[in-house]
Amino acid sequence: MTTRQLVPNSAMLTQQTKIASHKSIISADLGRTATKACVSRNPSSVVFIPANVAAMPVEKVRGGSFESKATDPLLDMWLEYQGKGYAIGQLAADFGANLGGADQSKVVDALVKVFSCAGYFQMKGDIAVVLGLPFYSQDQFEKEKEEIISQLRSPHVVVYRGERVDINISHVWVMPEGFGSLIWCEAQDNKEFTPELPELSVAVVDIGHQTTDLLMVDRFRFARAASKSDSFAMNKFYEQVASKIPGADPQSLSLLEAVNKPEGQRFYRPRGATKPTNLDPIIKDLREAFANELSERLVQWLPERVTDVVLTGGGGEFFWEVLQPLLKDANLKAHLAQPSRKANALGQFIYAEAQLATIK
Amino acid sequence: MALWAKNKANFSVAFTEDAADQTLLAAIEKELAFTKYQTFSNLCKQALWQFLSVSESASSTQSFQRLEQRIAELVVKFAEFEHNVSAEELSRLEGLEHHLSQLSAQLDQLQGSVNSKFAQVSFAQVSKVVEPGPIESESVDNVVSDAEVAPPRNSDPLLERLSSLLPQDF
Repeated sequence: MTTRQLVPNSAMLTQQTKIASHKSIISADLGRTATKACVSRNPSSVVFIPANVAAMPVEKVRGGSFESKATDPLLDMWLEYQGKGYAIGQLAADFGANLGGADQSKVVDALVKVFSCAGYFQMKGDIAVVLGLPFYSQDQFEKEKEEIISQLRSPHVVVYRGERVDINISHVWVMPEGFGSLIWCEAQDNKEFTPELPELSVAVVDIGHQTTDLLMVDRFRFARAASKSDSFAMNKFYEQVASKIPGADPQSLSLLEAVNKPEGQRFYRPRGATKPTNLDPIIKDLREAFANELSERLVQWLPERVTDVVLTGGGGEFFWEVLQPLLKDANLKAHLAQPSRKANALGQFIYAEAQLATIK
Repeated sequence: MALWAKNKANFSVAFTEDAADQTLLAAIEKELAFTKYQTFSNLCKQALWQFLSVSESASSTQSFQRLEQRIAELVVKFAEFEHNVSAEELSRLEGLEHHLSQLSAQLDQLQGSVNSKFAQVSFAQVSKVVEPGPIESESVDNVVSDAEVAPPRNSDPLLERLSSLLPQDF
């Protein structure tokens, strides 16, 4: 066995000065359809990694290691950790891994997803990680938060696409899903809110794939007792759309993608069909009824003191045009966090920056 | 007993008036009176068997075989035991080896973080020394500019504003 001495070597002294004075941050919004991740405040740098994860023997996952590294890393994402292999994103979908179901906690695979982000952004060494979790209840949030922190905060050795990466996750912050969007709104230098956000009682409505997160925030203080996550979300809408098309699979990534395209470009061809279906007339019919139900649920929950509602998440943007007048009727000021699918990751990133600055 | 009685060879034993002989004679009489030997001849033979350690060939072959069999059994059992122990030992060793390699990987990382911490500390010392005359040495200058690649955090107005607003924990 080799002996080791914990002494600084002179090469390190000069090389690591930069890293030591500026810790890297990974912000990951662990969505049910995609992980939205970023390592800066730049909205164009946010990457979408499909949420599928397949665990498999190392030998099987290594199968692709001779393929050119020049292929799009998002289509060929795999890693090894503690003797197990994992395919992530499209590769996992090709291996037959579904998106996690409603009953699957986001704690599952969180570590692997964070590693895939670190690998994608070529990060190593000391890293701080910030994540979001749905706020079903205080107890569940606390429990899952502790689980995630204990999994993540440690040194790890990962082999990402065949290359060894040493990662030391030194800080982990977990915030309720949706809160990042509020921070992102506050970070925008505009006159969207009057009075300013830190003076307001705001409801953040993050319409995701599996949950609609309803957060109550008073002057930036998270009101835990008044906040909750509702299981009425975009997946229900996809189910309604799929039910109108023979042979359609509501879990299909292609269907999800087609629904979220701009009007006029929404075509979906279920496997086995010879012609694509134009989704526009279907969506037109369903969207209003769905937005009405969303709005009804929202109003049922909405605490009386709320003056402003911030819509965010993929569904926030999708239903914006229909929801906005409904909220206006209720005498509420509606705002849309933009870009809505990226806002959580971006706001979380800024939160981690602010936390690191106070630690320093 | 029948076998003994048929024996043709006769030997006689003479006891003198000597005290030692008389004591022995008394002991013989007492033994014959109380034990199964009944005759002096029988008693003598029994005593001679023991004294001369003549082997009882017929019964000893059997008991030897039994012993041999028992030993063979023990050898097998011992081999099994040895095998089990070594398998156990092997898996324990493998576990330890795995654990060790994990530990050594962690140690590598710790070393890295100690190094970077040390670099940080020594950099802080260097920059303190440099403060009065910043253009004294070229190499020190390089280190300083290296460190300035990181954005100066404290001057970010957004973070300053937010850190007073945001909770430390959720």
